[in-house]
Amino acid sequence: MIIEDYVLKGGLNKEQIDLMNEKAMYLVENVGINIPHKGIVDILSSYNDVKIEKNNVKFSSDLVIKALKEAKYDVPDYARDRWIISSGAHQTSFYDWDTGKLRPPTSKDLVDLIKLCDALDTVGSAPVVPLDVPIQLQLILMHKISYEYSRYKCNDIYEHMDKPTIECANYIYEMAKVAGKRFTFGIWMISPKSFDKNGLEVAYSLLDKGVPMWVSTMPVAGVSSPITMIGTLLQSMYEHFAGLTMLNLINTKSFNYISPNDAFEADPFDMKYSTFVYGSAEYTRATLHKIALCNYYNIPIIAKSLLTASKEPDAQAAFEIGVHTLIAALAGARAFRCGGLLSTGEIYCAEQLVIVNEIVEYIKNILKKEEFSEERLMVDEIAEVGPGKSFIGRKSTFENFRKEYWEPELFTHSNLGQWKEMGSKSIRQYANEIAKKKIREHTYRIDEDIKKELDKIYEQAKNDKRLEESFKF
Amino acid sequence: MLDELKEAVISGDSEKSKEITQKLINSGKDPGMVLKDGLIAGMDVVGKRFKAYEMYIPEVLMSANAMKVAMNILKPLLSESDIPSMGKIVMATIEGDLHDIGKNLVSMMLEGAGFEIIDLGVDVPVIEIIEESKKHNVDIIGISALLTTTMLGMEGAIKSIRESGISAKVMIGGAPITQDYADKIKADGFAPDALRAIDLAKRLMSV
Repeated sequence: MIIEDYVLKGGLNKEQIDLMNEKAMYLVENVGINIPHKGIVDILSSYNDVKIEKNNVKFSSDLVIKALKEAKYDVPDYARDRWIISSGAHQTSFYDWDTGKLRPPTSKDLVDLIKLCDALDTVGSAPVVPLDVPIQLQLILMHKISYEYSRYKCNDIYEHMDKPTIECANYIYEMAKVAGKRFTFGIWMISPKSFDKNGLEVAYSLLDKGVPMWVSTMPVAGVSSPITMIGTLLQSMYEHFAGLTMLNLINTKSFNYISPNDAFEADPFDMKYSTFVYGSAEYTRATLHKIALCNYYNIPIIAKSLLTASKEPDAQAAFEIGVHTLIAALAGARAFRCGGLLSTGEIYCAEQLVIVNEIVEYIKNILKKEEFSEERLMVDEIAEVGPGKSFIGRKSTFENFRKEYWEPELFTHSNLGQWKEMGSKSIRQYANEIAKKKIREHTYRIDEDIKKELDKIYEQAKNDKRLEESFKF
Repeated sequence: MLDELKEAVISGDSEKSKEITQKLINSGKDPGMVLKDGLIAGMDVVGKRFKAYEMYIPEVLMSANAMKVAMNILKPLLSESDIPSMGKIVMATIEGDLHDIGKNLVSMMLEGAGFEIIDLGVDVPVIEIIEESKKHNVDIIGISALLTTTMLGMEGAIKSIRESGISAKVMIGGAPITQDYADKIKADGFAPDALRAIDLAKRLMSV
């Protein structure tokens, strides 16, 4: 017998989501979205139940329902039974390993961070942009390094990297094919109600390749969507529905889906500092609403709870991330993303990744399944051990103490004297040591033959003038 | 009543600011004085409070609107020399980039601070930025980018602007932009947020 799991009650109920669903469908059918791409609009015009006026496209709710039904979510097997951390991605500011000062990341940082991510079993996209290589090679290198040094990076539904030009997307496609990795293409919407036309152009070029495609949008409450969080969620739903329906009608050689990474994302905005606010109370509440919506639409849940507005790995960061992640876990989330990010996703910090890994482990252990049995009540043990005696030397203690107590790697339980003896290190210093040790000891490498093929493709990319030109906007 | 007008601007009450302005004009008050001691005085307080993080963006925008509706009454009565203009600014998101949240916010705030804004929108080729800047004889060009890919276009854009002979100063902004980057590509200034964009624009006007 297991002690019942702790769950969070409350939040959006079925009737409320039914109404939001109805309103989202209404918006898709009667307001439509802006699709600034002639080729795509031409394809859409061949369908019944699609109304087009210049670039404004309206889809019938039947088409939306069909798209939602046909959406496929290929959650990898390794993610089904464990807690997942997806690291933050695509950062251009990094806390130096030794000085702790902010600087642009390099390709060496990229390699080291991918090793760290892999050592911590994290999934998702490449953490930093190697700013020491030409821009047209950056994303290609990020994929290459991810394939070479990690098992999971850029290879699952948690990946959501940009591929901003056709040439860039083609190189990454070739690398993924050679490495046996998953290739998808994502379209980012620009709220309100539009698409990035460069993204549409790349998507259009990939339609014959038969690659899975996903859609994402991030409306910002009070700026690119209404001020209320539920209004912003509604806009997010409607934009996601319209985007998914578009993909379903044009990308017919493969499957399409709403990216679970940002499914029904609704971002609060700080009106004092004019900035996004990840890690705020409103953002945490939005996560709870998102989880309810994902359950309603059978979309895998990924809580973006590892974000903070704090600039350093400090008390604010720990609190915002800890509370957000715990609440999301109580609501059913077992995958969490943006590990390692600070300052509302402006900075990558290796120590922070180690810290959030520990936070997630801590929460996992709060919520771990606990067996209830007469044997575990240990009545006989209690009866046997008399006054003045101890349980510490008993066989049952020896056999079970490791199972009963989680041993944290970072949040050590040393007393003051022990802490002083061990060097009086701060949590950040300790996390830094752990990060460096994990990188030193990391062993995974992709097969050497595959690496040689990836190197060839990368060399080609380095000398490709068309690729270079494609990045001159 | 001038104090009441100032308060109406500070509190963002457009109805009241319109009503009081009209009453003051009807009573024979000098329009220049209404502008200076009522509207500008109110916006000065708003500016100070916003800088001190005591007022929030939507409140500042409401105050700017309260000033705008009052100005609609005063403008026909003021000589051109009486109408304060902090300067003219062309605003654009760089070619290839469709993001405009930040640019729009900065445009609204600069307008509230008394600048005349010509907003060219998003995905604007540099040739259009140059043409419009020449046409309107602007003092400052503001360019925004949200993506690390599109921000690289800023360097070429600044070069083209300089080569075109326009004397306007160039200020840049956007999430991936840093002061180091702005210095590297020889922009005249960088602002990390809307508030600092106002300060920067004022500084660039005084140089």
